[in-house]
Amino acid sequence: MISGATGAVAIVIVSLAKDFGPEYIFATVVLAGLIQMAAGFLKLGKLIRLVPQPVMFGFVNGLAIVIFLSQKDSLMTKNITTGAMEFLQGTPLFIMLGLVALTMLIIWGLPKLTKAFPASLAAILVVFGLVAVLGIDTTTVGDMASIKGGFPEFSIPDLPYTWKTLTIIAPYAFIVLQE
Amino acid sequence: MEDLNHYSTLCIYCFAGVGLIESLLTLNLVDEITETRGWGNKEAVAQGLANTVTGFFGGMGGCAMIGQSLINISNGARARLSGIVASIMLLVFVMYGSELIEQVPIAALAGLMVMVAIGTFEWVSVRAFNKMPKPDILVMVLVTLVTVFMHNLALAVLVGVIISALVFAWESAKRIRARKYVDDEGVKHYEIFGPLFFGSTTVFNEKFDIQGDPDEIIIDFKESKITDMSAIDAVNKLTERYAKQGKKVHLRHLSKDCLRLLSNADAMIDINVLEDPTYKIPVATKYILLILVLFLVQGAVKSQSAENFKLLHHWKVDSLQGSFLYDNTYNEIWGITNKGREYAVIGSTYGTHFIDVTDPASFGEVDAVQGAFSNRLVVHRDYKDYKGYIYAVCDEGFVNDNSTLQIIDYATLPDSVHVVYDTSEYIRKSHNIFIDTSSARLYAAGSYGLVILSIEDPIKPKFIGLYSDIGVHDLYVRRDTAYLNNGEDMRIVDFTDPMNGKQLYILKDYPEKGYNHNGWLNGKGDTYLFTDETKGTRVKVCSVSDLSNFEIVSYIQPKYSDSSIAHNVVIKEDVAYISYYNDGLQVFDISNPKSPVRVGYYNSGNYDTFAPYMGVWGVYPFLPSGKILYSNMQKGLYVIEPSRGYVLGTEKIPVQTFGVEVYPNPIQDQLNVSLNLEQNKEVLFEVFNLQGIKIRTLLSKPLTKGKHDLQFDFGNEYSPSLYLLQIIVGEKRKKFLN
Repeated sequence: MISGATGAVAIVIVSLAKDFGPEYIFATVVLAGLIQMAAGFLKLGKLIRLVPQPVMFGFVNGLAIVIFLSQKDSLMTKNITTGAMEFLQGTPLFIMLGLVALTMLIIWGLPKLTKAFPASLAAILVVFGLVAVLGIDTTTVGDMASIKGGFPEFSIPDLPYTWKTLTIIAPYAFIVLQE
Repeated sequence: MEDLNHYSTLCIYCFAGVGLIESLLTLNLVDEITETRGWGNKEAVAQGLANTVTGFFGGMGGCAMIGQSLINISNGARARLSGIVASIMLLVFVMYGSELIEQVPIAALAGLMVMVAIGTFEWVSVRAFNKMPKPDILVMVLVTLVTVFMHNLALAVLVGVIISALVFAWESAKRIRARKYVDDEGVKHYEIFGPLFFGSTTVFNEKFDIQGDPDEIIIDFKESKITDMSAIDAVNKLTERYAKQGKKVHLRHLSKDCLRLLSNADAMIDINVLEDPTYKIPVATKYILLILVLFLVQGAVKSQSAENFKLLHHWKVDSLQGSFLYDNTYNEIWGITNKGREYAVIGSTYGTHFIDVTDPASFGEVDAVQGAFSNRLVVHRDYKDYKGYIYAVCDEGFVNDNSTLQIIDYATLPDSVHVVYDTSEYIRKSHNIFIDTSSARLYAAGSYGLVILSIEDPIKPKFIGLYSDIGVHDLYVRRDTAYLNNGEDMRIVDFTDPMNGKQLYILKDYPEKGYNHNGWLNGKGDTYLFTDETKGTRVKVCSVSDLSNFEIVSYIQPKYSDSSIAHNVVIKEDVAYISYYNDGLQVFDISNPKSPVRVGYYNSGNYDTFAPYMGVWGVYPFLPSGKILYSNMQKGLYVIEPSRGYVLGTEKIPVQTFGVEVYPNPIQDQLNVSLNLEQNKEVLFEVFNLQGIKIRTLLSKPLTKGKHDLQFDFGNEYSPSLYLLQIIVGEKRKKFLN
């Protein structure tokens, strides 16, 4: 299982930062972490057994649909003049669809030939290589956002450590928890 | 900071109630795919710790990422290393490789995520759609919609859980019923059935005719239960209303916890609790036999991947690769015993592996023999044993070379095994072999037909016969009578004279005909099962007690999938073990050949239903310990055993000491009870669900002395669950008015 910064957490955290200021983020995250640990020690994990199978099915299916639908973003581009997002048209659209289909074909087909190499990695490398070698003009990760970063520094949030502060961060901490 | 929006705070706490759900659901999902069991609490602690530390570094915190986890799993990740690598690589990319990553086309990632979405979707839920109870469909669709449109997974799950709970409460509320009668003394009796709780109090109140009732009434809770404050309040109000009319109410048969609930509420309730006078009659004068049997009703909705079996061991070789043709690494399975220890014999693209399956401490491969042909062209191997030797063949090889009959001496196990014969003088390739121990003959099947060898000297096979009328795919032989599966037909041939087989029967056209593939005879020799290796064809159950009256009497198919392909069937006495591509190992009781009953199954993996050569190849159920071995073409050897408390097949649930047998278990459509009475007795059979609510009375009448075989049809009216069967013998029951 892989854990990381998910969109849902981001929504909560951003709204907190907007309302109260970024320094509260740190305290919220720490509090959520502590509550999560408490839940673990109190063995609350078994509550998950109360979730019936149809709910599990619905959850998983909904998730699959969300993942599927969110891929439509890759067919959008930013209009340089208006700044609005709009659908690709003409050749860029077909290039995009073609590359998507190629990726899917490799992921579907490669495991039938060999399992020695992870199919998804192979698909990414092939499409990556194809785009690089042929110089195809298509949207890349860099067009969406820069991922460059550096090491963070240790800091203890500079906050008034009062009950009042707790009432502000606690609800957000709970939300992070449920994600 | 002062203007905290109270409404949103409330909502936030609402959601917080489902705390941690998403991470735990992801864990659940991963568990389902990998067939492992994650530690939810450990995960919570780890994540909490990580978030706490992250906070001090200005991070935004995180949780389980479903998409990434699924990609990870689908690429074969199983252990910690993959997660560690993922995070370290992410760090490396962010720090040093960002320019490279930024060149990756979005199209590749979109394609990947679409495949993840397709893989994540529970297609089985669509297939089973019309088989699910309506409230379940509603819940499933609703959860899906909330997830899709509100993007709030935790809320979706919360909504689903609440609706499911309400539906359950509503269904339970409908169960409350009252049986009314007036006894000789003019006292009116209300016998209440079903639980009395907040959902059922209204219906409960409607049962009583306060105006019309006599001065004294008795409410009997023998078949009911007062569960909560609403119920106490309802009882309280009811007695008050009777009291206003000057009538007296007795409550009878309150269970201990009901009484405790009522005494807790002493102050607010005034009732007259009456003991049933007949309740205390000494047991000695009556003959009361109470048997509770837990049994399962199987249903149409796939909810788990195993029933009545539990996994003991799993074995595979990570370095072995599957065949080029079908990606099957493993093929045939067989079992042997030596010096009190049990071993599995399993074929692979490499050769033949011997695995000690006696106990957990010694479990593991003890030796392996490389096949004469040993590479990724190998698809089929086959094994049988005779007098301490394993006979091994392979159906792949080059034209003039490389595939042989190997005879392997296993008397020196657990140390090692030795190949004592390895030539292609009689058999170069064979699809399947069978050994008829009664005449010490080995039959090897292939496109050439049959080659028959005498193995009176087990290590010096001698050619004694040939059958070349048709290419034979697989066969079963007993006392020189061979049942041949030839793809296009099935033949029964008498090989008393091995050079001149005499055809006794041929089956060419039959319903649901596919590629006639494999068959087996039951213990008594009157029932023969065969498989067709073609999608949508069921396993045929044939009556062969009289070959002039050969008849297909029934068909077998697991209920869950319409498209599963049966591969091989093996029968131990009257229990058929059928290995399915895609549908795992399915076990049927065929003691009544006309209506086979599924008694268990074990499925080690979900495969694309359309892919051939994926899933279970074969099964070996003959080990003395009762352990069952089966081979999964991709996943290797599985050692399973019937779960505790369940005994398969012709053996019955172990309550024989009382003269009662109940079978099969789990039941599918029909429950059989056989009962031996020492004298004429009143007999009562009742079925309860796990809430203790009686759902059906199967039988209530006097039976005469002697043995009775009773059958009860269950049909499809019960949802799959555990039920209790209560059998009461000899207690005198009152006759009721209605």
